[in-house]
Formats: sequence, structure tokens, C-alpha cells
Amino acid sequence: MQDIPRDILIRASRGNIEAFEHIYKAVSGFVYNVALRITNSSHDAEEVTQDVFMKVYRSLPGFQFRSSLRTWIYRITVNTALNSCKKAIKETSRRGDYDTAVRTQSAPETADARATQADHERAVASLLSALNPDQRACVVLREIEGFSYKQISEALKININTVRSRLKRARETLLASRKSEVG
Amino acid sequence: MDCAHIKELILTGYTDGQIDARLQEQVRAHLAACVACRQLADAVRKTAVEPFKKAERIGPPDAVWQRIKQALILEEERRPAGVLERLRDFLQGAYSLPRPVYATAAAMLVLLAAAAFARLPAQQQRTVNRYLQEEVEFITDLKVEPRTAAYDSLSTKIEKSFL
Repeated sequence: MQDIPRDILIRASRGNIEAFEHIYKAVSGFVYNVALRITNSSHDAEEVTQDVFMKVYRSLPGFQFRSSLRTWIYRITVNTALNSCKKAIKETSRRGDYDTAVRTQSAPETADARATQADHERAVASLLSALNPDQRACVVLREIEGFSYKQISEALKININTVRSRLKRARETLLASRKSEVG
Repeated sequence: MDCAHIKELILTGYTDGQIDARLQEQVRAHLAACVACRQLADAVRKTAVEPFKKAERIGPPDAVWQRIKQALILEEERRPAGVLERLRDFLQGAYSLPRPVYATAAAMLVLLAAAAFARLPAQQQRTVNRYLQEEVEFITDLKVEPRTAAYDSLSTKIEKSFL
């Protein structure tokens, strides 16, 4: 995530939409990507992204600059995505439009490269779908976003031992699902 | 370290490089000698780590920002005439008032309080009177700054109402 100049934050907090667009451009990649991986739905990821930025816009005037903006946005993003994911699990089985989102938004140069990338994305989606939402959030932040355990604990507001425990359970689940596929 | 402890580390800190160098080296030494733990480390890497490294970072479609922007504009339009902003501006204006305005306002408040407490029983009146006496002394002791050209051109509504 790019650094956002303080004066941009101040202008955005006073309702300047151009300044807010600057913030959007700096963090929307992270927000959408995490939302897409956690919800496994491009439609839900778009809704989460919109929801996150509306929350950020409304909360900016009260932002104290004492905490990190990044950590704050990470937390809003993961919480909003988890809520969306849990709500969707309650309502219905997943719609499976993830592949469409990947294909339309990433464009490797050749047909072979596109096919290979689509395979990778299907594999990632399949692995993530084997995990519960809390484990999924940890794995996305660790494996895809490259967060340290400390950053994950701050983003999810859980202690480091819980991060470790969720990653361990997640990996045990992934190993077990691979074994059941193979054997 | 036994295999159970090593397994724990393989599933977490060792694979993620989130343990200190000394512990990392101990795990490496164990793996060199233990086939079962080495196989587990390979399986974790191939199944639970490497597939995610090939995942793409995907950004939102342009339409998402357009929707957010529209929502923000609508929200700004619906805001009830900027009540908070008006309050903020008023307070900022009040802070910039000259000291005589505060002194006059404080004196008026004391007079209003005196009028309100005038009908209290004698005991309570004495307490109130002591308090009022202290307030009057405080206001009297306030330094009045010399008049300047700025004071002579008072023109805001608040200034006119007080002076």
C-alpha cells in the first residue's frame, strides 16, 4: 500500500472528494484483492470495497493520526469482508463467479499464459474455499499480502498466538484436503 | 526438540520465516536427520504455501470508484446544511473574540445567576452570595487590553449584540 501524504488525509477528512480519490487509488488494490479472496465472489468483493470506502470517508473526520491509517483500513477491510462472507455462507452456497472476475481483470499476454493463470487462480480459490472464514483471512493476509504475524494480529485485532494457531489449523486442513483428493 | 515441536514450527513460524535465526537453524538440523519431518515440510510448502505465491493481485473495476463517488456526492448533498461545520465555524469565531467580549458575557451570566437565585432561603443565599462575590472579584481583576483600531471596527453579529 502506498504512503498517503498527511495533507491529502486532512483534505479528504474535510469532504474533498478529489483528495479521497487519491486515498482510493492508493489502497483500493489491497481492499478489493483481500475482499475477493475472502468472499470468493467478484460481486461481493465490489460491494465490500464500496462499503469499506464509505466507512473510511465517514470516519476520516474522527481519525486521530495516532494510529496507522494502513492498519485501520486493513481492519475495516478484513472485518467487512468476513461479515460479507459469513452472511453469504448463511444465506446460500457460493455462487462461484470468482473465475469470471479473475479472467476479466487480469490479462496475461498469450492464450497459454491466460490458461495457466486461470488454473492457478482456480487452485487458489479451491484451497481457500476449504477453510473457514477466519482461517481464510489469516492465509490471505499471510500468503497473498505477505503480512508478518504481527501485522496480521493488528489487522484482525487478535493476539499472535491466535494468528499462529489459525495458520496451523488452516495448513492442516489444506494438507488433509490434498490427501483426500490424492488418495 | 522432538518431532511434535518441529511439526508445530513447520506448520507456522519455520515455513513463514517468523522465528529467530537460532531456532530456524535447529529446525533445519532436525530436518536433515528426520525423513518424516522433512516430508511434512515439503508437503506444507507445496500444498499450503506455493500455490498462493502464484495468485495474482487483482484490482477493482473502474465502475467501483464511479459508484463510490456518486454515493459520496449524494451523501454530501443530503447532509443537513452542514450543522457540524456551522458549529465548528461558530466556535472558531468565538475563540477569536477579544477579551472584553468574554468579560461582558461572563458578567451577564453572573447577573442572570444572581436573579435566578434571589429567592433562595437565607442559608443558601449566603453560599450563593459568597460565590457571586468571588466571581465579581475575578471579573474586576481581568486585565482590559488597550483599545486598538481593531476593537473600534467591531462588526460581527455577536460583537454588536454584546457591545
